Amino acid sequence: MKKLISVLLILAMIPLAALAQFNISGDLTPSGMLRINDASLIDLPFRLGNISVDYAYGDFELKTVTSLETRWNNPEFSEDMLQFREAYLLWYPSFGEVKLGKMIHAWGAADANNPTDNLSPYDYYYMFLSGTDRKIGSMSMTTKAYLGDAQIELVAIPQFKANRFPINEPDFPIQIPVPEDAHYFNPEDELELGARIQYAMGIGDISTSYFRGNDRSFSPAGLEIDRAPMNTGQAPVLEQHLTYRSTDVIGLDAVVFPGNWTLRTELAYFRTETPDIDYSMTKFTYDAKYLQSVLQVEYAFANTVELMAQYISNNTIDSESEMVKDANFIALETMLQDTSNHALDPMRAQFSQLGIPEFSAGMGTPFALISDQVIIMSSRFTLMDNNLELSGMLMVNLDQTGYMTNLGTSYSIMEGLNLDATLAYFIGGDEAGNRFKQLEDFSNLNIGLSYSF
Amino acid sequence: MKLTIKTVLIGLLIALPLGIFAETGFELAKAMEDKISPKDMKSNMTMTLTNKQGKTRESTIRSISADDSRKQIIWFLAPADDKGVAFLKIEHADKDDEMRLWLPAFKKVRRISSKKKADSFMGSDLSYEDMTSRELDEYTYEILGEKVVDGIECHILESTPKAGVTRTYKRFITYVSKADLVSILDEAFDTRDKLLKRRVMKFRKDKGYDLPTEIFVENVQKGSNTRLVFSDQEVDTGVKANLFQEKNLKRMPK
Repeated sequence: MKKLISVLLILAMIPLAALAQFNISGDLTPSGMLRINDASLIDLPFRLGNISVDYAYGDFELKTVTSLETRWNNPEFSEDMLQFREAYLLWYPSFGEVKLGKMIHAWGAADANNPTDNLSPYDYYYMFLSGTDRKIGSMSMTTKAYLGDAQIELVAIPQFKANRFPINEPDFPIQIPVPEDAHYFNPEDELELGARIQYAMGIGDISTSYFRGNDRSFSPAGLEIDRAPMNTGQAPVLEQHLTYRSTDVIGLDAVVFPGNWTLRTELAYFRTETPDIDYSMTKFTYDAKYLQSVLQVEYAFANTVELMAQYISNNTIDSESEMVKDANFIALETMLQDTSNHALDPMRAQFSQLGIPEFSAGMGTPFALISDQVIIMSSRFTLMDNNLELSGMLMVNLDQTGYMTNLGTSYSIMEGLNLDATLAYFIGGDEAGNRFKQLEDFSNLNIGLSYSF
Repeated sequence: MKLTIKTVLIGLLIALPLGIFAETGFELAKAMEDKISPKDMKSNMTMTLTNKQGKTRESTIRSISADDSRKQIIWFLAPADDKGVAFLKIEHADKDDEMRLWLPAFKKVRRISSKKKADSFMGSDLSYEDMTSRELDEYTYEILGEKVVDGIECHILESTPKAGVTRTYKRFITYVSKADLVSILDEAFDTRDKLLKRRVMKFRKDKGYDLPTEIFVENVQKGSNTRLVFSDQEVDTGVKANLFQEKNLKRMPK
């Protein structure tokens, strides 16, 4: 229904096109991912195309971005395939810009991995894409004022939006352990606020930011025990509840140019707390502080060769967690302790393992999900008079044995039409829970065409 | 005698703006720099890149510049995959230049190092250094002689960066029109003193200014070239200084 309203709104705007500057652009990006070990097709969705429709009238602009998402194994059209990724109104007053609507935000000085950039949720289906392609738009309002060398940006997000995770996707390499019937408590206070001040100097730019919002990734909120099945001799049902913690982020980012080098850096301090949920269950509460940072170094060797290295870290400074058992939990626990009925042994064993899961970050750079310390090195250069672009990337996990290599080529067939191929290869160690090991079977060759119009 | 002094004075008055007075390389370079130029200029450009195999790629650009192109903002209008990309350059006398690139796909304004001047500008044969002004005091100059280029009588001016000034070129040889004091042909030599680029410029007269109509840059080592053709030029339209701000990268003013 929402999508239908959006379409009607867009259609209603068409008469204005007679007065306004109307612009349509987009791309078609059919692509497929093949596993390296058996050349089988990886069944994950991809964006077949994107279309941007913009109207500009005086100091106002209306911008929309719509994508068509599909998958090779299930190409039938459904309404869910159409993603209205952005639709917002822009006003350019003399002091700067004001935006209102569904939009994607981008903060931070580093490329691709930005701990200070928490305004827009991530779409984990597109984690290996770049730029705004891997983010999700959210309803928000933003004002940016340019005051000489300074910029001040204020953002308000009234409606909470979480990351999109590939849950119950057998072909996604990292399985996220969430039961299908898990219940999510959305934040009671959905309003999120952010502010960023940037100052330009001769030697570079420096920015500081503050964001008060809710985690983009869920965390355990508690357990609810349904003892009713016990009346018929069955095991009680444990229902997992999840929520999004409220988090404050203080950020600092900078870009400076020492000699022929470029240094981009970001530092974000997070303070997170589980909200008080008014619901009868065994509650899990977290109160933690963590720090994420990115240090990026760039060097241009010659006209067409660039080298970039990034060090990304995620450190928990302090974490307190508590499991507050409810009456149901205590009663069942007592019953299991007091009875020696061996028929209850499996339940007893299951119960003894119940505890509060370890704290994990719910915001910041997505790489925190894979590792607490990684180094990324990448290089890009062009050949054949810029018709062939070659790129290479090596990611090294410093926590556990883990490597990812990415080799990409993009050949310009004709103006606007490129043939792209990317080989992604993962190697992981044998340690328990090694994320890169889980990614090994996901090593793939992605082949696609991209046509811009 | 009086008549002779008067004649000399009149002769000097005529000769001065034409640059005939320039006797040394520095004086010639100074006369070129002091030449009256528009306060600001708006133009559309078609940039055609041609590689060694003759394959071409065409871009359409809107440019607004001021202060002798020390401030410039450029928006890419075509091709589709570059559309929306914008570039801002502000040259400072007392601090590092500022160069910023608006990348719509990333929704970010990326500040780039002004020291990476050798980098190609959007894949063309023009580097960022080619797009910045040569500071008069950073070079030594010598007039090497005279030559007729395309029927135009020219001084041959050699410019060499002074010791301590880091540039990607070892020297330039510029063919300066004697009549108009504009560069007709400019040859840039790499650090090994091998000819790297040849730049041919064409001008037209408008409102007392020499306005560029075409710039052809050939990378003689790579065999590629870039042709910039100017159209819809407007000068002295009263472009405000605050146009050259980051906020204007995101949209092209009317």
